[in-house]
Amino acid sequence: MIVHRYQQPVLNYIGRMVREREMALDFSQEIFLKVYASLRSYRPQFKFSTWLFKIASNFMIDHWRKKKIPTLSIDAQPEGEEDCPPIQLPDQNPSVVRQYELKELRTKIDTAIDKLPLSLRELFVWRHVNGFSYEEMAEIKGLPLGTVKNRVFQGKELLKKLLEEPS
Amino acid sequence: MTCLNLEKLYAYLEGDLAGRDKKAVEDHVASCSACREALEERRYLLQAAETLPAFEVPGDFARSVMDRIAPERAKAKTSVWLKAAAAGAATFAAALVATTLITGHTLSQLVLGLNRFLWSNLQGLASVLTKGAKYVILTFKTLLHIAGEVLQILKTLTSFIGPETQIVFIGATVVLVLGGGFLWSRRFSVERNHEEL
Repeated sequence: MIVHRYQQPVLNYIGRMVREREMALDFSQEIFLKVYASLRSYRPQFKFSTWLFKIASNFMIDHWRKKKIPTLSIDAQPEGEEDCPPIQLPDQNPSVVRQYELKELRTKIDTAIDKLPLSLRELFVWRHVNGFSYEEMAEIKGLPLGTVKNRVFQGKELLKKLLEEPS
Repeated sequence: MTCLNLEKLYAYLEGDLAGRDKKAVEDHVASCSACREALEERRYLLQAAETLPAFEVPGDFARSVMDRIAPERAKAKTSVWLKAAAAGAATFAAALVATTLITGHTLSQLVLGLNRFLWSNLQGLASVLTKGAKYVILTFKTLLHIAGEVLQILKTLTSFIGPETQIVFIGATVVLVLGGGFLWSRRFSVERNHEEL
């Protein structure tokens, strides 16, 4: 059954995007209703999870548009984005991230994800929470593979910077 | 010695490097403490991100979704019937208009003609139904007659057999029927279990 199979990944994605559990549950239900209503348009040559997450992503885009978030459009190209990420070398400062216990770090990541721009947050969650491949994400978003890789890279580095900020 | 760029470190951590590229990263981090530290820091970061606790799905989540889908499904079915009815009505109206235009008859003439046509067909249908009913009654009477004959034969046969033999015969028949029914139902349930699996 579709709902049983995909409820956890959908809720993990929506939950990390909106952060409120009740809202995430409501949105996830709405997404499954949309999936049901659109089942006729599904083409079996595409992966079902890719098609489902495209619907979920569009649902979130509509949500952010309704909320009229001007600077954080989910599809907006982050500043300075090019297809190839700038070459960045490791800094020489001592690691802040590794000072945290794993459990503590998870809590901090959970909070910091909320501060990522939507276009980076969505792809970061798909890659490192949902475990999608870059190819799948490129297909879902209809973006070039390089752009997707670059955004995930930016998301990770920004997350690291956010974790290093004094709380 | 040139340090590795971060993109390469992530590619290594996510298993996207192989062969010479992978070896080059491993050789470099073995001799460069800054890159080694950067690699371990990002490994730790990804490890934490990838093991974030999952959002707990309520046990009745799927049921709630299905409860909401059910009215949608009913609505969709109703809308299919409504669409079919609307399409039928539209086709009829179009055919009526087209016939008016082609034959030159007025709409009232056409409606009268259609009425006559339907009425004559209804009469034909009534006569067919009457004939059908007669055949059904005749078949029923024939079956009753056959049943009466069979009973008569049984009566004649039983007059030749003693009451003990009749009891044994009836008992054997009951056992055979019940046993057969039991075996058949067992086979049916085994087949159904196989289908469910």
